[in-house]
Amino acid sequence: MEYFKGLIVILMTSVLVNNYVLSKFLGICPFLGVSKKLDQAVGMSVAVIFVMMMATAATWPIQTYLLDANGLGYLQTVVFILVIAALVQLVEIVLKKYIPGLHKSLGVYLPLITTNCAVLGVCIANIDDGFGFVESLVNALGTGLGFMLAMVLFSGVRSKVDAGNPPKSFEGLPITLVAAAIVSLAFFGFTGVVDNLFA
Amino acid sequence: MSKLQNFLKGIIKENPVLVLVLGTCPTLAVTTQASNAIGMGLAATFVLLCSNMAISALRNIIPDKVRIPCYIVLIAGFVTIVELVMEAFAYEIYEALGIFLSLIVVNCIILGRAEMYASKHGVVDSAIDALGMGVGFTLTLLVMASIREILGNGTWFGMPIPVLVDNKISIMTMAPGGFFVFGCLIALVNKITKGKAIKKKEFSCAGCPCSPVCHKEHQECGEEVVR
Amino acid sequence: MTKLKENKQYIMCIVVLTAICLFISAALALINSVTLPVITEASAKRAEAARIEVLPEADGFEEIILEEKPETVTQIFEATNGKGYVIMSSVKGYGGAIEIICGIDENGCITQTKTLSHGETAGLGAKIDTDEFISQYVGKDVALEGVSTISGATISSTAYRNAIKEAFTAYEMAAGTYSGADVDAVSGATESVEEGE
Repeated sequence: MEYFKGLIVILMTSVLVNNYVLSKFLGICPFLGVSKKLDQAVGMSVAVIFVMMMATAATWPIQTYLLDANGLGYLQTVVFILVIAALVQLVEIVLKKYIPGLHKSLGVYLPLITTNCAVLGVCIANIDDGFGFVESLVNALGTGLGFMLAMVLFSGVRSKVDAGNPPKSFEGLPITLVAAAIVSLAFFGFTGVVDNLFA
Repeated sequence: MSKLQNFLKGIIKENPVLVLVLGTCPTLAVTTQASNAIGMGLAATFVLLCSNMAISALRNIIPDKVRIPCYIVLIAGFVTIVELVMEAFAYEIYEALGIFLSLIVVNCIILGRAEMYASKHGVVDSAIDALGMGVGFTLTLLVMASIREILGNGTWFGMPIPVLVDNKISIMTMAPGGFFVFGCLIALVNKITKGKAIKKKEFSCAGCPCSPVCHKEHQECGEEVVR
Repeated sequence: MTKLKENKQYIMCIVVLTAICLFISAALALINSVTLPVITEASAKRAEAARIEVLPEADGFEEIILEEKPETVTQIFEATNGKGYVIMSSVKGYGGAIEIICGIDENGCITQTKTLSHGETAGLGAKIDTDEFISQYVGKDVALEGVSTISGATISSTAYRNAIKEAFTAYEMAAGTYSGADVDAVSGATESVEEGE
């Protein structure tokens, strides 16, 4: 029971409190680039959740049983990024062949994910934080869901921001960043929520 | 383009952070202290210099089909070298930069310059391009970190500044302050260049992992879609 | 003919990528062999410096291996001149492990504690690394009277408190004053850790 409670705290924390986009600044590129339309934001986020889980499931055993066991910890960065790149390719091929419907909706987002720093970030963070295999998977899921939450919320904010009439020099990216600052401020409110739910 | 112009373009005209809008993640994340900004800037410059030179030297050997994996492996190798050296000789900065040191691998600036510049130019030009971009990146990080550290913590490079140190605006060193200062800096560049840079700024192109989706909407970017 | 050319292209792809991977791995192995001793030595030095910092009266340390020790305690060191013990703990906080080092003198009072590393939220949980929070532990005995948690960062500061509690258990085990009465108190503390999580 305590174990499951621990997992839920990991999940809630990574979704709401340690939100990768809004408080750890990982995955900012897709956050700003693909959050213009709601359907794109959702598509990208689903692909990210999927790849994050797969990448964690692949990199955690590699780090634990292959690299650490042989004193090759220093190859972590090289191996992880290669595994993620290969994995993304593999997922794309498999989806294309067996689930063409899903490939059609997620396909465009998959190649972008290789260099999404949130994916590599979550794999490394799982190792650094000393999470076990299941905890790592839950953390990856939570991080992905947090990414989705931020994307979806922000796409709503953005449609309002774009309709506004900011000063000329603030048009485009600058006002988007200021809006992101406000959304990120709003996420601060969640800190106490998780704390008081489980403390 | 003369060699000097090639160097200077990275600092102002094609500043990787403020004009090309590449590498936003580390820009926002490590700029809470001026010393971290310098550490990150130097580390990224080193990786950029090595990877640009290596990729430029190998540009005729690497087959087109596997060029991205090749670039990534080379870059990851240089990043690990920086990590190991910093852990051994500059531990405090290594600690402070944490995960963002490893994440230089996926920093769009580095892959972006490899793809946009080093794969098409000679070793010397690529090295100059890398130095210019690296200095531009470092300077921008330093400016942003200085603003955030002075306002948010009342210090600069750890030295307390009278009056401000007693009136900290802590939010500046937290996440919202990062987004806010970054937005304002880009707006300032817009103002100074009178909106000349604004066109390119919708979102970065070839180097950015978002480019394919971006291109659907912004055909005017004109860069080849990498798929 | 074109087929042959295509095959050749594929082989080139594999050969070049493999060659680059091998070369990079070899280069990293070489650099690692140079930096590893430096890193190990520096981290040993940092650990020694941290131990001196939390127990300044000691002139040297000797690691004690206990057969049974509290879960969060990673290492226990005894001062060679008998001035006390230094206990290193690793406890799960909000954003991963919090590494704490705690010095306890021969009278069972905390000389100093120090947060070695943590991944808590900046501005909230990260306050466990501030002097304000840490200084309230100095001079306290096992009861930890008057030590308060940080509002808005209950999980982090409770985890910290429980780590210190378990450090005291380890201290008592090492000093041989560990008794049954403490077991209850400690198991109570352990439960509250899990609740806090």
